[in-house]
Amino acid sequence: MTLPPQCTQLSSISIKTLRRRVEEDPDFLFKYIEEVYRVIEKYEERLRAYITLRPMSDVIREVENIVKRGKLGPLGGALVAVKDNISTRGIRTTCGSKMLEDYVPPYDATVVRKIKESGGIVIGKTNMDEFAMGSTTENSAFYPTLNPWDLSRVPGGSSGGSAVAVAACEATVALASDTGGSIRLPAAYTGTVGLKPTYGLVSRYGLVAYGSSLDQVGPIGRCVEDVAAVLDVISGHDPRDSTSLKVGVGGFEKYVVGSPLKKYRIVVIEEMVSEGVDEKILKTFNSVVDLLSKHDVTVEFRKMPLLHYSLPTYYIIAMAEASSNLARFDGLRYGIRSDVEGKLWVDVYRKIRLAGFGDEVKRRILLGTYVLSEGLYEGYYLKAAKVRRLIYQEFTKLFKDYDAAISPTSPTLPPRISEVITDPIKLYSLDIDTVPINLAGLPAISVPGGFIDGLPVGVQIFGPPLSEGSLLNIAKLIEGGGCG
Amino acid sequence: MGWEKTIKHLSTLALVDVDMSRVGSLARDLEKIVEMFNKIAELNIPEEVEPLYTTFFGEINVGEDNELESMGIGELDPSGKRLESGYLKSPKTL
Amino acid sequence: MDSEVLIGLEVHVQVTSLRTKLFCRCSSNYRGNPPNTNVCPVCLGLPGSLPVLNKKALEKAIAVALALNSRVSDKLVFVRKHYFYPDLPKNYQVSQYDRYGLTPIAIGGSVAVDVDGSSKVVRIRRINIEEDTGRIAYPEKSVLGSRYALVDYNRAGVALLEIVTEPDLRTPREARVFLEKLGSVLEHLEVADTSLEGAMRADANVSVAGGPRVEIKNIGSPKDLEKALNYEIARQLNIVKSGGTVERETRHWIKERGITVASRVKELEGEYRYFPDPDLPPIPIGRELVEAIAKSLPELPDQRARRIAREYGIGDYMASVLVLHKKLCDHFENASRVCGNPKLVSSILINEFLRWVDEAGVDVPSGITRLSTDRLCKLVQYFESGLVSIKLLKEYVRRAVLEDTSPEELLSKGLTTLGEESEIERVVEEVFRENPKAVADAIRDPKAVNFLVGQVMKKTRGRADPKLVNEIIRRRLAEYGVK
Ligand SMILES: [Zn+2]
Repeated sequence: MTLPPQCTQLSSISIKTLRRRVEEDPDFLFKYIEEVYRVIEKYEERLRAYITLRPMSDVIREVENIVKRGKLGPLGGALVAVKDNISTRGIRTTCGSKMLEDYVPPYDATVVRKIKESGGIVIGKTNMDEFAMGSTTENSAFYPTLNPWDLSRVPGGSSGGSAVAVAACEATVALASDTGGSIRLPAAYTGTVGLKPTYGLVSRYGLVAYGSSLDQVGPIGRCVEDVAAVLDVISGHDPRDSTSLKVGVGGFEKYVVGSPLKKYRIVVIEEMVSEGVDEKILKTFNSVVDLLSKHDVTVEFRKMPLLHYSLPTYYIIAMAEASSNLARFDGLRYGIRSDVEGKLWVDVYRKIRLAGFGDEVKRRILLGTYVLSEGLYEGYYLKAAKVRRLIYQEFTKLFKDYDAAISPTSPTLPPRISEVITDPIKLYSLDIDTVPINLAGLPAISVPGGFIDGLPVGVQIFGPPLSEGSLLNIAKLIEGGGCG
Repeated sequence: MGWEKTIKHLSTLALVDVDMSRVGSLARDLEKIVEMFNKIAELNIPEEVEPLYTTFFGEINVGEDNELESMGIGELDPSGKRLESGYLKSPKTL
Repeated sequence: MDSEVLIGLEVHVQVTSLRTKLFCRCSSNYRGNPPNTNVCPVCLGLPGSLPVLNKKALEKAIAVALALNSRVSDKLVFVRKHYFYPDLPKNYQVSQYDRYGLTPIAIGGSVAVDVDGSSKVVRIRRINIEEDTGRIAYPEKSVLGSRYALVDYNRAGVALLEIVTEPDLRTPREARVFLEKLGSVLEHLEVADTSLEGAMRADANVSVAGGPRVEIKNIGSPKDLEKALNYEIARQLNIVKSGGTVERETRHWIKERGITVASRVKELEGEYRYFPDPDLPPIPIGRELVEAIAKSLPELPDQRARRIAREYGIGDYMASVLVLHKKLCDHFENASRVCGNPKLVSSILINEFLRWVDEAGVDVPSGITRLSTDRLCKLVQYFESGLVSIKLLKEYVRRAVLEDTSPEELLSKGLTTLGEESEIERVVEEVFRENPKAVADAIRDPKAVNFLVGQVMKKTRGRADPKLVNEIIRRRLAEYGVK
């Protein structure tokens, strides 16, 4: 595990170590919390991982209560940074948008409730591209988050804040969301591990929707083991989410072992390692493939030309769903408010939505409206849904022959601030290798595969539905080493 | 150009106002993105292919018809500016 | 001109028999609750909240579909229908749709209606399940006088069925009877109590003489439907007569003023951007479930009409009118069993009771509390024993419904057929004295007796038994003749 300069030894410990040390001595938890806040004190002003950071005194008070009750649970007092599109009761949830600048939800997302019930402490809410629309965290309405490895670069997005909080040891682990790569891309750019679960494995209740059929909540950690520990806690059936799978879950930690649990057959899809992939990234990627081969893992190559259509398919569907999901923001019930007296509703709505949404959000709402409109629906939205079926079927076929697939997480190294943000096509292309996974509802993990010029390179492993165990195992083979 | 008119129409539908002084650059952006979308038009898809709207194939959760606690709207209005005797204040509808 | 009128209805019925809303577990019984108290993150559309279908709602919808002879879909597909409005928390409504390969819960179907003795079949186009909106009130009495509006989301998310007919209705009266029949089917199914305010609302599409379709929204009851259509048809005919053209538009029924007015907001027809709701993937509807519901369907109005006609010996038409209101029909059956004389009971209920209920503007259930089984039985008893004439009987029903006066009270006030012959004889003497010419006429011509009878009835304010009066007059005339 290679850490950026912000981390200290104490602030970088794993959940398991934390749990063990606290069991020996409850006071250790307070020392750990103070250390994390020291890191925050020192670096947060530059990094800006958080939108809302809870004061240390609040966190200490909460921990004291938990310690008094005696049981810390499997998360052992871990400080969990929560992406700011996940509803937290009593802590404002802005989605990185002016629209929700002062919105304090009256309820906890299911994942947050589960974290709290398992001894996790919400330390703060992390920065993100507005409503998760972006791949660099520069679309935050408040400020961009910087990459702890190189402050002139973006941390990836949209969950840049969550990834940076974890990478820079400003939190133990983080919750984030992934609609088309929003967990994996920032994990890759910050040298952390990020997992996007099978659609339906983790409850979406309380996750502010962007593309409802694509969104999943998942963990980001400094090591595979921590990611497995959080997945154990947040996965499982939720009666509040119609799309929550009724599967027996848990026990993911047992997959985190340094040797393969079976003789894996892994596939590399050629389209994901050919066009537009940075040479240096390919080199790192190939060395990871070599490493896996040493573990008695079969790696083969296959073609999937349909993936050329995954970017338009993904963006049509995501924007269509977004235009619908974001209709509710009108300032009436919550969010930025306007005086209503003597005004006509439509004028107030227009004013609120003009002031509340940023440019990228407006672009996506307009285009989502476009692809759903009368006369265009069949050619765009319906057609995209059909392409999605074909992509899904291709993956289903592929995973009859293979246990998992592997690719670079991103075709490039983290871009410099302002490098891609002005060109939407360039920006969207960062997601080229991550979006197909969401279209098919598959699980995927991004794990550090090496470094180029001091910048981390992420490797993505994905597999058939509910193959999280295998993915964690393979990721652990790539990660090697311990977990702090 | 056509896109500016389209933007006006979309903006009416979505109630998203556009800064008309920058409508040109927005139109260029949207046009570029739609061009990217248009790539899927190349694909000939057999008639029998059903659209895929979700990748959830499990049993859908349904609820029993039993009341759970409601929350009331007060928590959404700490400033007390949104409500009037329990009603939400809204701009005029006529 | 009637043959040129085409009326189609879109009826929204709240599934009031459900305890909770369609997609959350807030109480659906919002009536009488303080504003915004039966609400939660889901029905307020808070960011991140998700819908979970109320399983019972599906079962109720299937029952309705079966009762209306509709074809139940093999899957339940929800879509989002987008439009902005302050009563719509998510600014889209979860509903259903029939294009793009999507499907409503049921397609097709029919309802048979008897209108003033003739039968017809009204075709159902489709049935949707959807969520209700919140309600908008105004701080001042008038909409225009208010500087802002007030929204109550207690109703938001309550399960609605939208039942759409083909344009098979031809007269306002037919439309009214159809809506009553539909309401009765829903009551027999125990899906909805349509007498609750706002539980059954209709939008009507009307075209006259081949003109464009005009949609009238916001009609709250069968009676209002008839009124609104009468008004609207007259309005359109007037335009046509004076050489104008009817505009294709949406109008609102203003109950208080008895008129329809054009909506100010232009409807964005076809711009609802329907698409399948990704939060609610399709739910398969098993044939076993449909069959089980079909087997457990209760007796429906048509079957019931046939049965009561047979069982109580009342005419088919009377039976068809009784079953238009489940509670009225229950009342009929109960009273007939308790007091006997079903023919009289049905005649009282249909010819008198319904008329006064309509006149008073009260609903059938509250009318029934005024003309209770007890009171009905008393009336039957009074009539059978000759204490009240048929004419008085009508008066008793009128006052029971309008004034909530009991038969006992009216009887004690002396509102009764005069049984005492001596009393009638006294009045007859009086009339004879005052009308010597009429008496002379009557002696010559027996047909002229009627005038004298009428005078006696007038003097007794209808309380005398006309048969008895007739008899006494003839007796007295015979005496005169001898003289
Ligand atoms: Zn609710």
